[in-house]
Amino acid sequence: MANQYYDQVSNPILKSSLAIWRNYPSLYRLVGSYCVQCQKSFYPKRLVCPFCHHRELLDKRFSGKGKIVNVEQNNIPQITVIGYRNLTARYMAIIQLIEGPFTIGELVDVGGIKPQAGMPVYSELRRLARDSNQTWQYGIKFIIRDVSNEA
Amino acid sequence: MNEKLPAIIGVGCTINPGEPHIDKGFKDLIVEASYAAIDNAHISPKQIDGAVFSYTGEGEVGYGGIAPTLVDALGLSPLPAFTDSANCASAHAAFMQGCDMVESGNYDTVLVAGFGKMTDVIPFENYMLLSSDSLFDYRLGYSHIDSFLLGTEYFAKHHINKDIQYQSLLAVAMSARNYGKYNPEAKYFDKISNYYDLKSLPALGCTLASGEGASAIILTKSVKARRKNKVVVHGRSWLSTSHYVGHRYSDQQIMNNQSKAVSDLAEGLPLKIACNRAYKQANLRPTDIDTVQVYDQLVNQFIALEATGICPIGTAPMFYINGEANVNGKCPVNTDGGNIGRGFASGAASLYGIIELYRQLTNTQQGLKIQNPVHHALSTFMGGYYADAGAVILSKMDGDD
Ligand SMILES: [Zn+2]
Repeated sequence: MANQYYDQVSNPILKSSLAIWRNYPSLYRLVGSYCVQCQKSFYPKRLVCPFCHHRELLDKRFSGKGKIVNVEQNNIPQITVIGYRNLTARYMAIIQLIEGPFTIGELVDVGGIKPQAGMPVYSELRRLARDSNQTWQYGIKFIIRDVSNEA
Repeated sequence: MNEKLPAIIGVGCTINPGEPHIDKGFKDLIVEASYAAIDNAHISPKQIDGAVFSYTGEGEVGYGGIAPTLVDALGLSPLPAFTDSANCASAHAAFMQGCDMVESGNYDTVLVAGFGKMTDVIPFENYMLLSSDSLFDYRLGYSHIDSFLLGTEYFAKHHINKDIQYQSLLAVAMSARNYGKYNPEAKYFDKISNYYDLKSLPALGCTLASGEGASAIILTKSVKARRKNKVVVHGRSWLSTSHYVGHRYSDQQIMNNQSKAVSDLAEGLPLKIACNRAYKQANLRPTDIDTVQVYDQLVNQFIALEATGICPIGTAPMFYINGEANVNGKCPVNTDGGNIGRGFASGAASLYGIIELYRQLTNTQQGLKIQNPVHHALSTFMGGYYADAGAVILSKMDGDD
């Protein structure tokens, strides 16, 4: 993970680390929620089920397995202002987790492959940009890998 | 015609919203635009008994609660005034509220004004690029721009070949600059563009021109708007869904069972619903619309045009290539130049479009005049990536004098 972004500027948005701390399970372990009544799964977590409006939602940790639904390569230097100065060409994708929810994620370690819709992906915890207090932030990203037969 | 309908009686804006104006602050901009609208309406400032202001949010001026600051700057204190924020569509949100105020009967004459002022706040660009849910997208490096780039799945979804993609984007970029060339308020006023230069630009020149400016509209009750060529707000609708674009792919998660169709980023389903509600309110159909304003950038003008029903799904690129969006076309689009050719001043942006439609309806356009008669005009806009969607139908009515 250290080989990714070796020298990033901090994200100049001044945000308290409390919001991150409060959401560690979701941001670091892909914990979302599911509705006890209608069994629908959600990521990010929800407080109310939008389908049946039931309010008893329990935590659910997703497997991290999924597939690409839509993907683009962002080469626009403007994204440098949000902390990715050294890596302006990045693949951002909509991922459907095998449990159902659609999430947003960056594809990493892509190598020579051209990411396309339908490719299997697997989640990993990776380094993000530095926070405003200079500490590294971490979050879920995705690698292209078929783990459907792996435990 | 319902006499309670709100009517537009005056419009005003600052010029060239496609460039920063470092010699002017947000107060300068809003005062200039608002008093242009007051003069245009031939009213006294004292007649204004309510106001709604828009800007893109706290990131723009560093604090909330800006209404009293603006009321004071305008010399209108004390006044009931409110503030609306909905990213790029902030001014549409304010316009909706202004209409509601007039229609409620509690206000006679309402000022709706928005501003965009990005260079006074250093992290403005960061905040503007948010336009998302922040913790689960922006924090991961996903910005507003990524939504637009993912939106190019439009081409794949509708099997639009590379040549049509290329030709249609060039047509959009050139159309916007051509309209801008004749509009003295536009970024590209008096500038000549050529295809050779466009081909070297990112997205072939289909990127909005971000800048600073303010725009204002005076609303009153239709029955009070005694003038020739009265313009009423015939239909309007507003929809808020979700900023998290992952939800757009989930069957019905944000559309409340209104449609079995999943609204991916190649489709403007929230805007389609807003347009259909506005059509229903005005008892009109897409074929009745004589000119339209859409949020133009990358492929979004195609998505938005199809959401209005003016183009069948998958045909908007050919609509542009065939010249139907031109001033002599079937339904001229963004005749002031739009985000690309006129310029885009965030919190003021969408009112510029409504102002252009009002002027085309009253034959007071600054730039190119639409060649066919204009009776009904549709303004659409989105905040975030269809997180908010607004549709406004303006119609020309026979006046009293
Ligand atoms: Zn439920």
